[in-house]
Amino acid sequence: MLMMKKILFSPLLGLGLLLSPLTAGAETIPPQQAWQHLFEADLPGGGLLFHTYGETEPLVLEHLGTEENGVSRYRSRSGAEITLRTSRAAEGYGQVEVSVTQNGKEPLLLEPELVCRFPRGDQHWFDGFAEQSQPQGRDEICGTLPFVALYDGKHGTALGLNPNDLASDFRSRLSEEEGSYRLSFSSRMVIAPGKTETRRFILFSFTPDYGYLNAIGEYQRFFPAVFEATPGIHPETHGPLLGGLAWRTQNDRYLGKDPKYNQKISDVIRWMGGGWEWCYAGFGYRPGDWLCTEEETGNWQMPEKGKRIAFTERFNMTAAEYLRQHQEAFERIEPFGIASMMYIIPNYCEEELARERYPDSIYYDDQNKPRSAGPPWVVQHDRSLQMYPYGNSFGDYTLEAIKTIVTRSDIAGFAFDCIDRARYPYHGPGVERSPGQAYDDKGRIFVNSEIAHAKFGEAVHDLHRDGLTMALTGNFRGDTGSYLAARVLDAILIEHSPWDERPLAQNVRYLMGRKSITWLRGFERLPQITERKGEALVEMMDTLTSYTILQGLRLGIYPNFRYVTGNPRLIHYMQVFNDLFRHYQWNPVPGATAPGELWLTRYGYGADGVLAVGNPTAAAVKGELQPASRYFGAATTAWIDYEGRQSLTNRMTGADPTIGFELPRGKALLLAAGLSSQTPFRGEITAQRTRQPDRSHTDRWSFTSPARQAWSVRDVPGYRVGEITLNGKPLEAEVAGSEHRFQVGEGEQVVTVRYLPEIALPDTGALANLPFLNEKKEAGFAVEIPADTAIYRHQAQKLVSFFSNYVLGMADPDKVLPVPVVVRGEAPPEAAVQVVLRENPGAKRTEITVNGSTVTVTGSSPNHLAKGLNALLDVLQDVYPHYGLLQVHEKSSPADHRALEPSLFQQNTDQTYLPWKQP
Amino acid sequence: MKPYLLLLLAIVTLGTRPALADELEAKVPYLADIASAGWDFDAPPWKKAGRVDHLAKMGAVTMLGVSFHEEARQPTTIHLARDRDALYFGFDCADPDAKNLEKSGAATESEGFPEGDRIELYLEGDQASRQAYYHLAFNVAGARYRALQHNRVETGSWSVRTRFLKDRWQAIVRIPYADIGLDPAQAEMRGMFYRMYRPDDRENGREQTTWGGRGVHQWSALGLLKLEPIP
Repeated sequence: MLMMKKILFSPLLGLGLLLSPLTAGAETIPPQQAWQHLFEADLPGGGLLFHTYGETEPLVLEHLGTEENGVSRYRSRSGAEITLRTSRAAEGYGQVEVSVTQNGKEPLLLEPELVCRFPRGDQHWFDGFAEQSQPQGRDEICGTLPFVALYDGKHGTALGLNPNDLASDFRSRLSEEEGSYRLSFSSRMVIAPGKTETRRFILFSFTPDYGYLNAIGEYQRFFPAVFEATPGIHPETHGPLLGGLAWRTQNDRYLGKDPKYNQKISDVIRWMGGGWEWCYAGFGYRPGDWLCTEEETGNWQMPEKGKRIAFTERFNMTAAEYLRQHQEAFERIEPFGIASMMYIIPNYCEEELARERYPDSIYYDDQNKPRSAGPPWVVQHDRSLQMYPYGNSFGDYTLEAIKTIVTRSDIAGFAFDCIDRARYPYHGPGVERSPGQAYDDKGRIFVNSEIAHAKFGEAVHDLHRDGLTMALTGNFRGDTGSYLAARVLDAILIEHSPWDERPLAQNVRYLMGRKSITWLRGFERLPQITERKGEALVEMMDTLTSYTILQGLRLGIYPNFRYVTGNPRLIHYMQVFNDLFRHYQWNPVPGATAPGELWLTRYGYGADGVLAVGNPTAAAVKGELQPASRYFGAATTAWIDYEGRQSLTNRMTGADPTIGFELPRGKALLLAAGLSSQTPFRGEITAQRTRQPDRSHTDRWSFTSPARQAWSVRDVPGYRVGEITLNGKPLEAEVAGSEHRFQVGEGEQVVTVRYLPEIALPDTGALANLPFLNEKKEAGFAVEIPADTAIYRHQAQKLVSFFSNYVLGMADPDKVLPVPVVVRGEAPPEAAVQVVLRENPGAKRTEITVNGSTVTVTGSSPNHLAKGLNALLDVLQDVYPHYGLLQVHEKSSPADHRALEPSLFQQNTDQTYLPWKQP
Repeated sequence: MKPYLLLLLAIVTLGTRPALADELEAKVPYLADIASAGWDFDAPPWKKAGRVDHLAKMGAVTMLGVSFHEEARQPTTIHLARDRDALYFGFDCADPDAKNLEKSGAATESEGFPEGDRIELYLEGDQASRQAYYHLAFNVAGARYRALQHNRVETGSWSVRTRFLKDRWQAIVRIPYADIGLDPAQAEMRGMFYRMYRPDDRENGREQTTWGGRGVHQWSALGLLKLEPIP
């Protein structure tokens, strides 16, 4: 293996001056003794270069000395002082921190460049964006990870930027020189007179078992705070986007708080598995007046159709009354248990407000023109201007305003619209106070607009409410967004469809790491979607469903709720997505190999991984999967079908198994790591998972053991190991944390492991026999709630919704199933079935029990009870034949796609975002 | 049945997943006298020009080997040629109400993006190594726009002429190589064409068509323009 110590920084190297048309002077810092404690030895040709812009003479540096701790100091002729600190992080990467103090009178434009040289061979090259086929440079930060990597079949070296540094510019280049490759990574920086600026460059080696994906895996491991959601945020932020589903139905400004919608959306939210909400324009009405004041909004004479109209006249209410409608909507959403993100767009301001109050903060483009969003914009009427919201009047106001918003509004954070603006360099006021300044090819100083957005994100994460850290979500694309915004985002939506290549979804996933991503669009933009009928529509929808599932698994991206609604396959798969995305989490390093035409993705970071193999081709593919056991923390790991559809044979010829399979077109195979051992095993292990209606499952492992061997299984996300048997007899396992260890003797062996869900469910047979509905299709049940609170009333309503809409298919809201709901302590109504929600703060586990005709859901908190009730409804969903909501609306009966009519798709593209027709 | 009614019919083809960018290809012949060519695209020298005549509704997609795309209701044909100094594109845009179109659209270039019915070109020029492109747009009134991807730059010296007939409008565009940094010796370049028809008529008429129905602002979706060498 090419060791780190052999690759960098020789005291003997002599790179000489590197001059380019943009570089009036450049100087190589010769590595010093102090560097060698980090890099230990040498590879000729590496070093750190300093390019300057606009200097008439090279930046001649005088070495002032090197301290024992590895700190070296230099001084230029013009008086700039440079301090280099080298260190090795515990995670395994080396870091060169470059701090520059400008003592001169003019800003110093400096481009430190980290360079490595390698003997030219059969290497591959990743420029942070993609694997490239030929040497070239890249100065585009959109969609680009801030590091580059060169690797062959065995060794890899990467250099780049510490992603916690906010830099408006970074660039890289691979070039061929005299039989060698020169790999460089640099970042332009601006040091104002009397100021000090710092950049931290990093270097690391990696084993490229899976090419550059190993480098991405290492990079994400080094910086978990960048690639994982902020600790302490609302847990539903990790789920899918709900896309306005709850907000628009609970807000008078949109549809009004109509109970008939409440009845339906609770089922949709349950199918989605919860999630976070995009609470559109929740701040008020006039972008830039984030507090919806009388002064800026209430007194506004709005331009409308060439005339002026007072806000109060237009809406027949004051700004305060308008705002109150939003505030009440946030309160009404709360019982849904989802994470409400207040829509905000800090980089835009209504034009008149911007020109009057914040002229210093308006963004001007290269033609010195303001960028206008043009109508319709946020609230469908206004013309807004692009702003730079940091270090100037608008930035100061905005960062203060969000403190007030968090104090007064019942929210879990913010949804930052248009956060991906990495293509916009800003030159105006605010640059001075912004970190990460850079300069362009003409020497003009700028900051990337996303610097301001990153500072906004940091400010959001500093805010807290009800014990939660405020989260930041937004819409983000790889062709317009950079690591600056991705770094502070906790969850995103992509405003495109699963088949759309434009947003560079793969790069977005690299930039977002483990964080939640949802497609905003679904079927509505397919060609001819509004003109297809019958079988042609079914074919299209089936194809899209399969493709959405495969893309979802490949990239860890949720589908939009409008597409899940009424789509039984996706309703089922949302449980899989939530399990994999939230609990296991997307991993860039597959840890396995499969035929190249298939999509292979790993979920999980430890011994309990899941491998997702998808077939996006036009035909079935027969092949073998070969997981690498060392990536799963064991000498041997055997795999089982996650969904329990088929028996698998793990052929162990060494440490790693080979698993043969045939995968039809459009299908996915999910394999879960199961039985593992720290001792290699040779032979075959047959694995079969059986899933039970009560959501438990049993794994059966059959093999012939050549000798006594220690094995183990693990608790996995959402499940704990219950009974383990060996050849039909209970087996006592040694439990260490989540691991259950046991010994297996020589000969033929059958090990069974039962996994119990976190929520204890009853025998579904007992549930199925209860007359929730009588023969006349009337409600046969009553509900008892622990207290008369909004959240418990909402839980009761979910049961009513389930039977009214989903089971009986009632399209008419006036025909809602009448169901008695009483508060604990009140006289129970007469009903064949009693559903009792019981809050027990001491309960260690949420459980559902059936005792005679009483179904009891017990949980330690309203939140746990809500989840318990959802689990009950999921089971009932399997018990009762049901309708999808789309079919319910059209009063058509088959529970597949065959009755879908084009009008529904048209309906789905309107502004309501509802999957059913409005009255 | 009128031709445009035929085009309303769905075209859904079965096939293998296309290799993006390689599937779309058009020739750009060297025609020494193209600069002085008139409006008749069926007459020399345009007759010898390359052609792109498969603009489809934007949003074509191939999934699991099935291609979903839809032909344009208002067909567009593009004629391509070059001389020593510039690229030439002749656009022939079917439009049943072209005469009235002549009165629409703003000719001014000072305010943002060209409004109304328009054509957009995405040309790689000297941006291949960055996987980027120049974005040129003009509307029926001749207002122009030039950007490097999303960033507007000076409009440049490229020119547009338009004319309006009963059932179509036409445009002849001349793009000097310098405007897109194209090395005249380059043998090929990636590109994409987009047409917006009736942007304000979202209910019935609006139509966005592109070469192959592919997306725009997307380097990987650009087709290939084979540039005939300059003698």
